[in-house]
Amino acid sequence: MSKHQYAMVMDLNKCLGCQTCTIACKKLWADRDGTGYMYWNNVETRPGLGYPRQWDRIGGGWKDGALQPSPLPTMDDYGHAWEYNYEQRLYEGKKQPVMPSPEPKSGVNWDEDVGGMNEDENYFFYLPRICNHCTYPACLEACPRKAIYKREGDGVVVIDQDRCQGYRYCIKACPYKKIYFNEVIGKSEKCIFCYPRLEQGEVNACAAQCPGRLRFVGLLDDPESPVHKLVLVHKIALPLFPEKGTQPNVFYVPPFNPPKRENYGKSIQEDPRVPLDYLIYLFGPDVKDVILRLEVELKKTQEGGRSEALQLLTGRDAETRYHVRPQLVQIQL
Amino acid sequence: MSLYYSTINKYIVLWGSNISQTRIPDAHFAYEARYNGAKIVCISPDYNASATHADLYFRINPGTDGILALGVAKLLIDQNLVDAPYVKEQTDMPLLVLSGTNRFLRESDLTKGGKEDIFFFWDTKQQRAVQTPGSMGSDQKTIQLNGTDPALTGTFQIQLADGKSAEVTTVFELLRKEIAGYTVDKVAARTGLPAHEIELFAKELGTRKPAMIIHGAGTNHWFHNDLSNRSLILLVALTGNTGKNGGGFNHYVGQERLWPEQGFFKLAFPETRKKQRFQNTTLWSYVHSTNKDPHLYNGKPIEWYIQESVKNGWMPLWPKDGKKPRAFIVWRANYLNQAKGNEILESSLWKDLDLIVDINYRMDTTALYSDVVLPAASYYEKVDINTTDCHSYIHPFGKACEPLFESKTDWDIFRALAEKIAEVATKKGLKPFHDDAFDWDRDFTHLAQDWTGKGAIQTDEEAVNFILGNAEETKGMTYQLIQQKPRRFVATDPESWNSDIEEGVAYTPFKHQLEKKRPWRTLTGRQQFYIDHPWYIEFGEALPTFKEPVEEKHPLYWNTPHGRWSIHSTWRDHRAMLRLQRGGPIVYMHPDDARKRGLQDNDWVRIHNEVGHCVCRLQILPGEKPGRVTMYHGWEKYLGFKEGGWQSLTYIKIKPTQLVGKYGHVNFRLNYWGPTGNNRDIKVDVEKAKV
Repeated sequence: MSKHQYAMVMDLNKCLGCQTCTIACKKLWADRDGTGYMYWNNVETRPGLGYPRQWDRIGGGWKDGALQPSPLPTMDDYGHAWEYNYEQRLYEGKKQPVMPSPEPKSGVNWDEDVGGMNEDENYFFYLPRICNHCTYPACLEACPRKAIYKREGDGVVVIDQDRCQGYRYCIKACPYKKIYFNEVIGKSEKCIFCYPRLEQGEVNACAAQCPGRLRFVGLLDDPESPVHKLVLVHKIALPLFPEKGTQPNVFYVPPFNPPKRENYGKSIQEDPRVPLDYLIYLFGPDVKDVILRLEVELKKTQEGGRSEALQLLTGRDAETRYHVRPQLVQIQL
Repeated sequence: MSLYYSTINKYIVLWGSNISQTRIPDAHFAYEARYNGAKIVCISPDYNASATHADLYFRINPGTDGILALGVAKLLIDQNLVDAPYVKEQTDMPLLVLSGTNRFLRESDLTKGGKEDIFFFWDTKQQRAVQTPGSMGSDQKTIQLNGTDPALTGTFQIQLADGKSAEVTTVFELLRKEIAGYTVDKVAARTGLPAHEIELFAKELGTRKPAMIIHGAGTNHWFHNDLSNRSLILLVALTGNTGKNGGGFNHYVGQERLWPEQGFFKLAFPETRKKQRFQNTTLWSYVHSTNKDPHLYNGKPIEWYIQESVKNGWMPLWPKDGKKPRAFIVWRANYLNQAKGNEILESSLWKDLDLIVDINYRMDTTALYSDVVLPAASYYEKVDINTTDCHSYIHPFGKACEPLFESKTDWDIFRALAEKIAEVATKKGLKPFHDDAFDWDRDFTHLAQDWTGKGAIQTDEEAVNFILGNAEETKGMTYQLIQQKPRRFVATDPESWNSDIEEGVAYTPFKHQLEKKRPWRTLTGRQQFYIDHPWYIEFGEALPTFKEPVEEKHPLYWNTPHGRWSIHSTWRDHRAMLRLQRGGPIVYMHPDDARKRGLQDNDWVRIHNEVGHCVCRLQILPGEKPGRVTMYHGWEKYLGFKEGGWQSLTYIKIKPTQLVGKYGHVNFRLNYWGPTGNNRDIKVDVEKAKV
């Protein structure tokens, strides 16, 4: 356990699926040799394949105190970083069209906007994902080199690049498949919660760039922080797959899609567009209460009242959304 | 013009506008408004990224937006949800129309030598026809009713100048008749929406105020876009929302509104705009290519209407008298990629041009097909400004580095061209020539002098400062100042704008009309829904009405909306972005339509119709509407298509009534009024491609 724990809340009802976070992260951290296929931050359409494909179904995490087995995702599961022959068409006078190579067959956002069917009605939502910086990280336990550690001051989980030998046990152990192997340097890499930015008092790049303003950042144990309020006071944000036992520190406000055809005016409990079972699959059984709480709050404001929880989620300015506290979590080197 | 008002809105209707994809920077305001108590309605054939954020989703049949709007208008009227005082003062609903001719009652009908642009309503207090204040011909520069009470309904007898008696009725009365047939059941059947949800929608639109409609290209790019737009605007007028913070009709397509426009005009057109050869691109491209619309309009081909329009001086057409254009300069546009019917243009117009010059910072499709490409500095390499409809701040570009390689800023390119032309003209001893069309002596030996304001404006920063210094909106600003911190416009030029800039209040258009009772800039001085131009009457479009999409063969609508991955074609070919998609152009199809054709996800498919074809990948998308396929627009023709491109399937179709001009406000102005490009009515079929 760390002294303090940075956490992030993402409000899925504000996510646009624009992937600005993905690009912000990619350009800042994963734009080097060997990182082409990897996205420390990705946004996937749910329900869907996910990135890497089927990551939520192949294993990892804890059960009864033991690490659970999982295969390593293949490159096809991630999708190759395809290249383009721009030069030939644009500058060398060749007539053939510019084409991606190798031929794309899978990718980080392959099934964008596809989602699922509830009887004959489509539903989907976006799920932005970073490393969960878990309280009980399975990756940490799985590493035979003890290269992974949780920073004492702020709970950020990082891989010591000097110790890492690229065994990839961590990748198997992570139930969220948020660690990536860099073939060029032979080491594993992952989201570092932008700790160098946090230490300077700047919020994570994915949050800073988010046009939907759906990310809230702060210390979970700081009563003033928006994440503390959303998770522990208003109780409207939940971790992903809590049953995997790692205790994630990234939380989600669950999606609240429009009703199905003919259902306008009915409660979300009655025949909702997003099947409750699917939300329970992702966020555990507590999601039912959270959805009901959100419905009550929405109704309040629609009828002219005030809702403290929704006011917070509105998060109009950076001061509301982010409580970055470098002084509090100073790291002793 | 728009701004969401996230703390004021009570109802936001996303009508054919997928803001999550096309308004990425400010969509959050809408979703914040939802948390603050606004309900969001999303009207779109596809279940999309904005629909997922809505409280009510209408999976409407493509091309039926107009009938939904008019059905809702009927419900608003039938259920007394019309804001009568607003409608009487602000709209043409009480204006009198002669029953025999369907023309507005004019002063010229009542008195010999009377004006054509003075109109009347029936004052219930005096029980007589009274001049409506504020019309184009009126001496009164207000629309204040001054104690009169215009009748919205009824028929009345009046005496004409020739002594005969005639029957008149109100526009509102005609509207009621026009939409009487749009019953909920009929509208539900045509739109594919549940009747009781249409009723709930109407009720909420009429009671949750302020209500705003955000309208996008999904609705706009149909052939009958003017009709559906007029119908949508009618809804926010009947409910008294236009001109109020957080209310009204906000188009999210074609953001051509320039804030400090008077400064720009002074810089760009020192001899004033009247001396410019402005040209509507749709009309120009149609006339100067082999584009051919096979449809007849009231029995006549579109060419007949074009000829009439040009002859009457309603629309400009350059060059004149059947001459072909010779040189073509494309600046900041990807014309050949984006134009409807681009293959037709390539095989006709392109061959007729002697010189094609492209000023561009990307090697795009147009650049590939140009004789000369002048490399331009990109956003991060130059001093420049721009503005948007969507907020009231000015954007400075900010130069992060010097222009790379041979590239130059736009200003430097045009200045260099002007200098070269002046130099050559001087060397050749060119004499000034008289431009008859504009009564202007053009002297090319002075071009560089004219261009730089006699040498006063040398650099792009000086040009920016000239614009800023010569516009009400940016008085006191300089490029340096706007780089220091965001600066909001300080005032509005009454020539250009309809509201003031108010401290702490988002700009909302038409407050001058609503609060200061200034006339609307229309023929009648009111929000004018009735257009009694002979062509409008001939086509049965004097009032907003519903017309079916244009008849085309093939079973699938070809939908090419704006998407999240590009601004038109810009960034469409960017590797980092393409890796977040499927690497190349894809067409979306509903699973049922794919099953019928034996198509699998990621298949190569051939999309085809009479005009052309293209070959690309298929993505099966359950949110797509059966009977329609979608390809987000802007794909470069050179990237990812095995054959053709997304505009290979389209052609230019001009709507006759959009060629009308010189009717009050219905008058040509570049980017404001003229025939629009439209392509939603195009239909195609899709089959497995042999590759």
